[in-house]
Amino acid sequence: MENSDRDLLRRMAEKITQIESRAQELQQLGKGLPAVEKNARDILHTVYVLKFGISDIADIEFS
Amino acid sequence: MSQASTYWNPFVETLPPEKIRQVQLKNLRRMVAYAKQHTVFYREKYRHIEPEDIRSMADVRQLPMVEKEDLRMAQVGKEPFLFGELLGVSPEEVSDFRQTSGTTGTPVYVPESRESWQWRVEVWCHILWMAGFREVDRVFIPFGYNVYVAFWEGHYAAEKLGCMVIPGGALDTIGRLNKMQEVRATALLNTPTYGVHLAEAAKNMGIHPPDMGIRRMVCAGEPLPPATRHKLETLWGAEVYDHIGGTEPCAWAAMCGQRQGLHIMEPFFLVEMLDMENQQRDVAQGELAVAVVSALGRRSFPMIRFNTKDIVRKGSNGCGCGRTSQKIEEVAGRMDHLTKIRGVLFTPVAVEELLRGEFPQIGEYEISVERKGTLDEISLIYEPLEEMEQTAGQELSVILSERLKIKTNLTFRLLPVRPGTLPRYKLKAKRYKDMRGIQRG
Repeated sequence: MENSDRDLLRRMAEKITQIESRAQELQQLGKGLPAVEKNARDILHTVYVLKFGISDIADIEFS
Repeated sequence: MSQASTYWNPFVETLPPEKIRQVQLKNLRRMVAYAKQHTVFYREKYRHIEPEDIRSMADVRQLPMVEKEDLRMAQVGKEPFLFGELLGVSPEEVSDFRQTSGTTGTPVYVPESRESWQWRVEVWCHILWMAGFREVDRVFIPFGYNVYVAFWEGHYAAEKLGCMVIPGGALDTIGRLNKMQEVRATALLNTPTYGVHLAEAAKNMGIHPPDMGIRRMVCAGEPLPPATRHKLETLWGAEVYDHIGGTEPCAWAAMCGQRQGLHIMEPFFLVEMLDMENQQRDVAQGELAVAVVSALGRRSFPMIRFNTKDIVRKGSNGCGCGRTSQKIEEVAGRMDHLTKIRGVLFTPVAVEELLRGEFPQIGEYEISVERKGTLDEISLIYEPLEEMEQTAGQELSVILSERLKIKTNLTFRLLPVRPGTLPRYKLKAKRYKDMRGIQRG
């Protein structure tokens, strides 16, 4: 993998972690509010897919 | 990433094989740990296995395989309701009910959570992107999808790609053709059988199918031997793509633009291609194998070392498209359709391949095997596309008989019937009937 691609992969993996963390916070904040709770949960499901396609590759690449 | 538009996810699709294997093993360990923790089925099945001990493919072989019958046994009469001991999430998290077609016995109920569904859809995004589906496409799906999964996956994946999706469920064939013209559909998701039927129906309406503007088609639900794929391409003037998968593990391999074999979707799946005799040995490139599939990210219904009974021919690593995943050269059939007739190994795909490749004048057909006294008798009921003169019909029958004998080493009883006699199928066609085990009263 070229250096620029490695850098891109690393930065994307970091952003995914941040989004996950923010979505979890939102889910907590919106506890009891279905409109927030359920939409935050959907974000986390999308994050799961992103982690599979990006973060898992980054883990191997940088381990 | 300069290749961004070629690939759905270039980081995954161009990863070197040794790194793909590392990701697969890591994800497998994670999935085994999850499945043991969250399902009664795997807690029992893998009670002597520790996930961290899975370090190599040799370790993977130590995991017992999962057979379809195991899934049935884990569901029928077991709690929690519907999905039994295989459910990997709480019942409240299940968002979608799917089931297998029941072709080989009692259907298996398959639960999807929102997370697992997103994962399946992502796999299908890979399939459609490889087949050239893009935002500009108007994708027509001429089916009511019911509880069967493939077209739902295709629908949601096409949406995610940014295509316009037109569900063509509650229409008859003529209505569907009219709708396809009305919206100027550019792509189809189809079963091969219905793709042929739709083209025949278009011709009967005076429409030349290639004029309808369908540029590409992904087939699902049935085997698609090369001859059938070429027939569809000729009928529609479109690129036709195959994939392989099932309701239990999801779709796990698909064609790229080269249309030479199928790419295993690594590292979403770990696919072992094992010898046909006892599924213990990795086969060499070019050899036929049984595919044993582990889905590495779907937690609502963990599927680890699932014996698909699909027979595939192992292909190379790498491809002209630049993807690095393991390929399969062809899908050769299914173990449960592989049978001995008069001591000869037979698979119905051989007949499909012959008819679609060499006999364009034949439309529908049906194969049946019966026991007559102590001998097996195999029959082919076939339907010419158009009425034939007696002499032409007899000539066809002679040539067909010779070609079947050469292709399968079996002598068929041939039973021509009039056009329109045999049933038309929309989803999975049932053209093979083995009635040797059926008692006649």
